[in-house]
Amino acid sequence: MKLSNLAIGEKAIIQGIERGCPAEVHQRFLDLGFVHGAEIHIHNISPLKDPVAYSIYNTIISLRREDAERVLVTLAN
Amino acid sequence: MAKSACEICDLNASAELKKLGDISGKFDYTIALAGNPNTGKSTIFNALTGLKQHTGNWPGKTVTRAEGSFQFKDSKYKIIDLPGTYSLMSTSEDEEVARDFILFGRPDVTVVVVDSGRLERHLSLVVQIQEITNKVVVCLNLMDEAKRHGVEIDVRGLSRDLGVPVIPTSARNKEGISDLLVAIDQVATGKYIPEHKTISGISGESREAVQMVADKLLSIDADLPSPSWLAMRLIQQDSNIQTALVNQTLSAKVDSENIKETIDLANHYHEKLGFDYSDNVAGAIFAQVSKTVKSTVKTDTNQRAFRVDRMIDNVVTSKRFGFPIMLLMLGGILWLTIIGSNYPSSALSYLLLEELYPLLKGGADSLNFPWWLSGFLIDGVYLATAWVIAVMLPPMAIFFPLFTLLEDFGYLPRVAFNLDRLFKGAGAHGKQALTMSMGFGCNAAGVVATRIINSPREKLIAIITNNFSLCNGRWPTQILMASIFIGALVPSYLSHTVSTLAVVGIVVLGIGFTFFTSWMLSKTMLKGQASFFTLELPPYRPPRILQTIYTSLIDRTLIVLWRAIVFAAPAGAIIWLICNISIGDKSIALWTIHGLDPIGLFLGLNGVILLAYIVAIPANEIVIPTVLMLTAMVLGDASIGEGAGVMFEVSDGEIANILHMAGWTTLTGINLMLFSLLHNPCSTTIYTIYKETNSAKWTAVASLLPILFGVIVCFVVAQIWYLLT
Repeated sequence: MKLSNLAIGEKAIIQGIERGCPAEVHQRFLDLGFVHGAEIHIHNISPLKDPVAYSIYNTIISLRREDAERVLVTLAN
Repeated sequence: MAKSACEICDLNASAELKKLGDISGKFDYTIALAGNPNTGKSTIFNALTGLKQHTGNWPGKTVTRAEGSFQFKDSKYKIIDLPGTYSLMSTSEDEEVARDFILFGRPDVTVVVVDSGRLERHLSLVVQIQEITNKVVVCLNLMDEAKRHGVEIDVRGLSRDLGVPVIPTSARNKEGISDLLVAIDQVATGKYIPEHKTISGISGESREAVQMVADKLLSIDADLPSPSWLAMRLIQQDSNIQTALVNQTLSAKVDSENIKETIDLANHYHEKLGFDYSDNVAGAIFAQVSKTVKSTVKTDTNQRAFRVDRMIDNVVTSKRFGFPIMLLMLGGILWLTIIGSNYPSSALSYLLLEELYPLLKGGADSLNFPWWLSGFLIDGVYLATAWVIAVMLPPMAIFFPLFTLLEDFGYLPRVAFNLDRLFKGAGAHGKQALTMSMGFGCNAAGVVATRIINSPREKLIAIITNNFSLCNGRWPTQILMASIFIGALVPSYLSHTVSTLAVVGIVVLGIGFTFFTSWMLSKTMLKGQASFFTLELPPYRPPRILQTIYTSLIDRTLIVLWRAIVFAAPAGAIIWLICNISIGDKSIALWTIHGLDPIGLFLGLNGVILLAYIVAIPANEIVIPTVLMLTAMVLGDASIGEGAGVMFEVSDGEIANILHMAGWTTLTGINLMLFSLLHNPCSTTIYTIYKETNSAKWTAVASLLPILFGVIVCFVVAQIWYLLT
């Protein structure tokens, strides 16, 4: 599933970045720790629903919806 | 004289630290300071050099490279504060600067500052830097915060695992700096040689690719530094590395002939492995770091700190309270600024205009200055400069520290988070919310603040639209016009409320223009994909009040004030000259006013206002005194004012009388308010825009676009007014 479909309270494991993603953006994601196996969950959602702040590797990083759609995840148990 | 054992002991470090600020000269060693954004890198830099670089709880403060120096023991060190980066793999400008300096600049020591509470992320940068150089010292900063958050670190174990010195510090409290100095000294002088390390665990074909390319490089020059890093960069098609190899910058043995095959091989792997390669490398780095962290860090699973942060975030970014809190904060700051600066402003203007001015005039008389010299220097240059200081200094000295406190606490990134959706709609970046708010203090400062926006397109949009934030210098004009011309339209018990609402209306209109212009630019001159948006929400940190006041005074207030004075002094001279040099029977000023009057009336303004805006480009603060002085001159009534070219101060009631006498109507007042919002930025801001964009074209766009809007809006309002009356 896509990271953008994650619900509040759910924990997910990152599978990878969608292949259609531009190379630069792909690398930015990796730099920020969006690598295979990383744990991620929603920290909070902004008042206008977009962007969403995610907690990953002890850091809170917010992404716009169209960017979060590029991240593939699976739900953790 | 013999030194005591204590004095020569390595542990007595801080006694031997001499902060040299930014003086230049010869240096024995060069230190690079690297680290993720928001790790207190700048605080470390300041602690070592004694410089006061502004540090904020805001990722990406150090965009340009800052340099400083210090002396420790017998060696002089130059230290370079690199931009904060998450990694060294990307094509962004920041990362390029950082990685190229570490590779090509060959610093004697690279200090990597990491957040002790978030090693899982921050050590990945350490691992990458170790791939380039072994001369690394890891500075475990924010130890106090980590302890509070229940993070326990086995420092010795970590140092053993990484193979480099690891020094715990909390730079905000000045703890651990002396140990850090000792470690820097030991690595620089070669007393301690850190281990060579390379990234392990890159899987399968990707590892093979790095190995093959590195071997090829070594076969050309066996002494080539960091071959596997070079191999990795070549596979990523890093053009700087390719050029450096071809140009023999890295090794004399490598030339464009013998390297060709290696570059071809790297390109071949790039094609073949594609995204898998970067996935594998990044995956290996994070896996390696996770392993290290697992064996050396104990984390309180409770994560109390995170819960507190989330609790605050759940309020300040909530649907119900997010926007009201934001408005309350900004409104509160502006209110405190306007109310709070009244007293110091009038005290300053009493001192400079009523006490010092007659003294200077008297002094000039007793020294037998000719009238034109004392007029030029004291009525012209001095008066305009004094006016700018009196009106400008107090509000800035209040606004900036308050704003900086919010920044320090970590609230400002949440504002960007809340508002990003709106800015995205206009094709802009969420962080523009901050530069826009900063513009309410001072547009020049707002333009400088756009450095936090890392994509060039969105940064330009933020720069060009900053002038639509009504700055401190324009508030007095707005408040005066609203109370004289709009407040007077309603019964007196309502006048205060109505005139306040009118000023708020102008501010809101300015915000409207910000969004409209951003949208327009992103559809026309600055067309392009919205770039990838990531925004780190840093942990909340208790603001350091005294230090914040100090640095924001030095950093923002005084610098902006200085620039304004530099521009205001010549403006004063010009204003005085045009009022006192006559051609035929009229002064230059009167000629110009009469020439501009038809255009002015066409726009619902008048010649005096237009001339005032031309000569007062240096500072919006002197628009009103210039308008008053010119109006008095036009009226030619000797009982009003202080004479040609001399600015004067009178009560609001008298101002109203003078303006009414000169034929000002409600339309003039309204259009002056509009024109004050929509006209070219002051010269300080124009200069700052040029410095930030380095482009005459964009400086011209940013300067002329608002004036174009101003002319159109004033014209339309005037024509409608004339139709209706």
